[in-house]
Amino acid sequence: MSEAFEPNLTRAAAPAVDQARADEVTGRGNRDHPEHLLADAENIGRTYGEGARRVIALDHATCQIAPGDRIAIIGPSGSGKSTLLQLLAGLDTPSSGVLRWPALGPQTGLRPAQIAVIFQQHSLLEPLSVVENVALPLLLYGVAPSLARVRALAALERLDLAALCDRLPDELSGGQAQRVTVARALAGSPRLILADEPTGQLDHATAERVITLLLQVLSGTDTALVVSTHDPAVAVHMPRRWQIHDGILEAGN
Amino acid sequence: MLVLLWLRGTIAHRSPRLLGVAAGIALTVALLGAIGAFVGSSSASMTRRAIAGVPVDWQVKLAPGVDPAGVRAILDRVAHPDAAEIVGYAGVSGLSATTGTTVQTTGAGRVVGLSPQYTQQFPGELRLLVGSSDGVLIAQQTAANLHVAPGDSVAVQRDGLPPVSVQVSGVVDLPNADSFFQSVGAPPGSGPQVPPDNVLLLPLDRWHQLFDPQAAAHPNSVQTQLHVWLPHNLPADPGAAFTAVQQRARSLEAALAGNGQVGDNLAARLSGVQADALYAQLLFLFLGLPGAILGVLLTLAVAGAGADRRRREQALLRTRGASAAQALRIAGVEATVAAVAGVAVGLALAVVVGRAIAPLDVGVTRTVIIWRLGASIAGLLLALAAVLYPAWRQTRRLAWQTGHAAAGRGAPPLWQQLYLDGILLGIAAVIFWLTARSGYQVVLAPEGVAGSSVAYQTFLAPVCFWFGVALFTLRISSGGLARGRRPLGRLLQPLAHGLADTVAAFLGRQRLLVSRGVVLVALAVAFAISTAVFNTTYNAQARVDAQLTNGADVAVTGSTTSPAGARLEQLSALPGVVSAAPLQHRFAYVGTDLQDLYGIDPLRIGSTTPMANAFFGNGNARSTLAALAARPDGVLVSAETAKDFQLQPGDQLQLRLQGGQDHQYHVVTFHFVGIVREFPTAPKDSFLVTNADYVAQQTGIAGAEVVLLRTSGNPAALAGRARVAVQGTGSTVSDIGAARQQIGSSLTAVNLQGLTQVELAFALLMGAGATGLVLALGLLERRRMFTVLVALGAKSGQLGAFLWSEGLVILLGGGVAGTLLGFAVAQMLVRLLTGVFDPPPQALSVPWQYLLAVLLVVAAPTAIVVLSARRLLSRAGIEGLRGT
Repeated sequence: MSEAFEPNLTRAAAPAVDQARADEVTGRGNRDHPEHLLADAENIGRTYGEGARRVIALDHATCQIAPGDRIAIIGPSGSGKSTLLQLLAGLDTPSSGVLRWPALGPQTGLRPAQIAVIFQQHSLLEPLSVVENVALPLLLYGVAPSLARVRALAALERLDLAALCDRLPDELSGGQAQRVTVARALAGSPRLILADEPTGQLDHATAERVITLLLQVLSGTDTALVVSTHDPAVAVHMPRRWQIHDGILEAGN
Repeated sequence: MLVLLWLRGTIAHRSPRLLGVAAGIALTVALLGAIGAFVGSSSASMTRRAIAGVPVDWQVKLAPGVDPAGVRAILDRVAHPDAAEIVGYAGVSGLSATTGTTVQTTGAGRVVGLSPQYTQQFPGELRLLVGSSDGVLIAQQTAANLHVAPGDSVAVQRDGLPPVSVQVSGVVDLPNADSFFQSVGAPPGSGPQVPPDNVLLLPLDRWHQLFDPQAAAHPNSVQTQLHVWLPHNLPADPGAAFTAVQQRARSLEAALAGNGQVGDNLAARLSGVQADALYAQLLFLFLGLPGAILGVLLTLAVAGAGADRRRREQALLRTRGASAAQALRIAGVEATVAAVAGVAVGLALAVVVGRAIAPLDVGVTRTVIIWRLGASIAGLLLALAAVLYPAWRQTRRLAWQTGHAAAGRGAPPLWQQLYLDGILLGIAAVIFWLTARSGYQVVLAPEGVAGSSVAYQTFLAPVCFWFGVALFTLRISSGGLARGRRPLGRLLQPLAHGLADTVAAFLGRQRLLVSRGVVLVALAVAFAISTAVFNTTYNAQARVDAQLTNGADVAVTGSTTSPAGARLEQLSALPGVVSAAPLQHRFAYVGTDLQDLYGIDPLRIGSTTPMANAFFGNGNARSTLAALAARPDGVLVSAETAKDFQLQPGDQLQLRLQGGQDHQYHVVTFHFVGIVREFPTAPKDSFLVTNADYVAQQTGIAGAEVVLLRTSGNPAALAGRARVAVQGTGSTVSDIGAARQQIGSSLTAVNLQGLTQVELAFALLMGAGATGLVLALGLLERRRMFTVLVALGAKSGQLGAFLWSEGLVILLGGGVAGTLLGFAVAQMLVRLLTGVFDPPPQALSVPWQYLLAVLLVVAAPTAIVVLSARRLLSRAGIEGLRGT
C-alpha cells in the first residue's frame, strides 16, 4: 500500500489512528479472508461517452475494503473519487474489471441496508423533518414506521441532534445538516459507509467537528468508512489513505 | 452584446423553457382571438337577423300638403330604397256596426290606407286571420269589439263629415302595431305611444276617396307616410350599422328640408341589438375567460417551473459582474422573444380557428380587431409577468427570503388572512340572491320600447363565485394538506404502505406546490364541465325554443277549408317520422277578445312535441294534460284570461266558435281546468287549449289545420318529403331549422356550436396541461429530491408511491373541486339567463360522453407522467444529484 501524503498532514491536531494496530486490537480487517471483504475491486474502470468524447473517469482500479477499515481517498476535483465511490456503492456499474461485495452477498446494485452513502451536496429531503429524513432509509428497506422512528431518534441522539428532530432542513445550518446526513447513514447500522466529500461545503472547523464525530460514533464498530476528500485536514484522521489522480488509483491494499 | 449572447444560449440550451412560455402565451392569445372572431361574427349574425326582422325600415312622415311624389324622388336620390309605399293614416271619431238588433260603437280609431302591393312589400305588418286580404280589413281586436266578421259592414265616423259604410272582407292581426302606429317625430323621452284599439285598413284609392275631404277640412287629422325598405348593405357590427342607418336618415331629413321626418325603425332595432350583442359578448367572454385565465396560470406555472434554475443563472450572472439593469435587460429580451413568438402563433391560430367556427364570414370587423388587439396585449403582459417580473423581484430580494415559504412554514398569504375567498363568495351569493329576487331579469326590455338594457352587474355573481371557489380550493387543499396529514396517511396506506405517513408529510410540506396543481386541475375541469354543460343545456333549450315556435321538428300547416290533418296517415308514413299529431288551430271569442284556440289530443301530443312543465301554470305538464283529457269540455286558458274572469278550476266558460254550417260564431260551453303559459305554435299573448274532439263535435268541423311531426333524423330532410306529400293542397311545411332563423336577435338564436367546440377542445388541452404538464414540471423541478430518494434505496414501487400519491391528490382533489365548480357555474349561468330562455330549462343537460372524455384526458397524462418519471428517476442514479 502506498501511503503518499503530504508532510503537513502529520501536523493535524486530531489523533491519527494506526490501522495495523487497530486491526491487531480488534481482529477486524483481515484481508487474508477474501470472503470477509466488504468490497473487492479488481481492475475496474469507468468510461463515459464514445469516440472523441470518451472520458476515462476511472482506470483499472484495484482495491479492497474490509470490515472496520477507515480509508481516505484523496485527490483533486475531477480525479475520479466520486466515480469510485458510486461504483463501490452500487449506484453505478463499472465499464470494465470485476467488482464484488463478498461479505454482502451476491446481489448487485444498491444495498441500502448494508451500504450507506453520504453525499457531498445537501441531500436531505426538504419537505421532511430531520427525524423523518433519518428514518427514511429504514422505511425504504422495510422497517416498521414506529421502529424506524425510534432508531432514527437514537441515531440523532448519538450525534447530539435530538433537539433538532422536528426541524426542517431549511432551518438547519450547513454543519447541522451534514451531521443529520451522517445520522441518516448511521441509523441503518450499515456495514460500509461511503462518504463523498462529506465536508466539502463546510468550513474547516465544522468539517473537523463532523469528521471527528463520525469517527467517534463508529469507534468500536466494524462498520467500514471510506471518505473521499481533497482536504488534507480531513484525510489526516483516516489511518489508510488512497491517492487518486486522473482516474488512476494509487492505493489498493 | 451580452444580451445577444445570453439569448443565443437560451435558445440553444434552454429552448424547452422558452418554448413552454411561448406555447402558453400562444394558447391564451388563440383562445381570446377565437372568442373575438366568434363575437364579431355572431354580432354580425345578430345584426342581419335583426335587420331581417324589421317590418318597415323607415316610416317617413310627410308634412301636411307635401306631394308624396316629390318626397319619393328625393328618397330615391338620397337613400336608394329597395321599396317605398305610400300609407295614409286618418283619425276617426269612431267605428260602429250592427249585428242583429244591437249596434256596437267604438271610441276613436284610425283608418289606414294601403296600396295593393303593400302586403307583398311589407309582409311583416299584416297577418290575415280570417277572410280575404283584398278589400277592407279590420284589426282582430276591433272586429271583436264590433262583433263583425268578413261580409259585415262597418260605419266609419269621419271628423266633420257624414259617416260612410264599408264592407269587411278580412280580419287581420297587426303584429307590429307599436311601430306601425308610432308617433313619428315625437320628442325624445316622450315615451312609447299606445297603438289604437280600433283600426280599419282600406285600399289606398278608397282611403283617398273617404279622407281627402277630411284632410282638407282637418289637416291635422290626416297623415301621409312613406314606408321604406332600404338595401341592407350595412356594416356587420351592430353599432356601426346603427350609426350608418342614422346617418342615412339624417341625410334624408336634411334633403327633405322640413318636408318630412324619419321614423327610423331600423336604427331603433339595431340599437336594441347593440345591447344584445354586448350581452352576447359578455356571455362569450364569461364562457371563454376562465379558459384564458387558465392559460395564463398554466403559462405562469411553466415559467415558474424553471424559476429556480433561472434564479441561479441570474445570480451567477450577477456574481460575474452583470449589473441589475443588465440582468433585467436579459430577462426583458427573453420575455419579448417569448411574447412575439407566442402572440404571432396565437394570432395565426385565432385566425384559422376563428374562420372555422364563425357562424358568418364577416371579415375583419371592428370587434374582431379590438379583440385581437386585446389578446395581443394580454400575451405581451403575460410574457412580462412570467419572465420579467420574477427577474425584477430577484434583483430586489435575497436568497434566504425564499427558504421558509418553500418549506411551507411561512405566514399565510394576504388574501388568506383577509378571507378574500369568503368575501368573493359572499358577494356572489348576494348578487345571485338579488337577481333571483328580481326573477332573473337580466335583460330589461320594456314593452313598446325598441331598445333594451342589460343588468351587467348580475354577471359579477359567477365571476366572483369562480374566483372565490378557486381561492377557497387553494385554502382548503393547502389547509387540508397541512393539518390533515394523519387522515391523508391513512388514505395513502394502500398505495404507500409503510411509507404512507412519510408521503403524507412529504405532500403536506409541499402544500403550496400541490395546492397549485389542485387548483389548476380544478379550474381546467370546471372550465370543461361548465362550458360543456352550459352548451348542451343552451342547445337543448334553443331546440325547445325553436320547437315552441314551429310546433315540432316539422309542422305542416293547412287551413280550416283544407286541413293538413286530412293527410295525417300519409304524413305519418313518411320515412324518418317517429310520431305525428294533429293540431286544430281555430279562433274563439272570450268575451270580446278573439283568441287563438288549439284543439289537441292531450294524451298524444306529448309524444310528438315536448310538453315542458314550464308551459303550464301548475308547473306540471303531465297532470295538466291528464286533467284536460279527463274532462272532454275542459279548456286551458292564459293566466291573464283566468285573472280577468276570475276563473277557478271547474268554472264554466262560454266561448264563441265559428260553426262549420253557417260560418257564424256560436256559443260553446267549456270548463276551466288550468292555466297554460306557452304552447307549440301559440302566440305570446292569450290563447286557449282544449280537446280537439270536443271542438270538432261542437263546431261540426272535424279537420285539424296543422300536423306536427317528430323525426329521429334531419328535420329539413323530412320537411322536404312532407312538402312533396302535401303538394297542391295549399299546406305549408316548416322545420325547426327555419324557425331558429326566425326567432330574432335573441341570444338563443345564436348558434354557439363553433365557439363551444373550440372551448371544449381548449378545455381538453388545458386539462391535459394542468395535470400532465404541471405535474411533470413540478417533478422536474424537484428531480434532485427524487434522485436522493433513489440513492437512499427507494425501489421503483416506493418511488411510485411518492409520485402516484402526489398525482392522485392533485387529480382527485382538483377533479372533485372542478366538478362541483363546473356544475355550479353552469347552473348559475343558466339561472341568470332564465329570462333569455323561453321557456327556461327545467334541468341542466349533461353531456356525459364529453365528461368521460374530460376524465380520460385529465387522468391519462397523470398516469403517463408518473410512470415516465418513475422509470426515468429510477435510472437517473447519482448523476441526477450533480446535474441539478
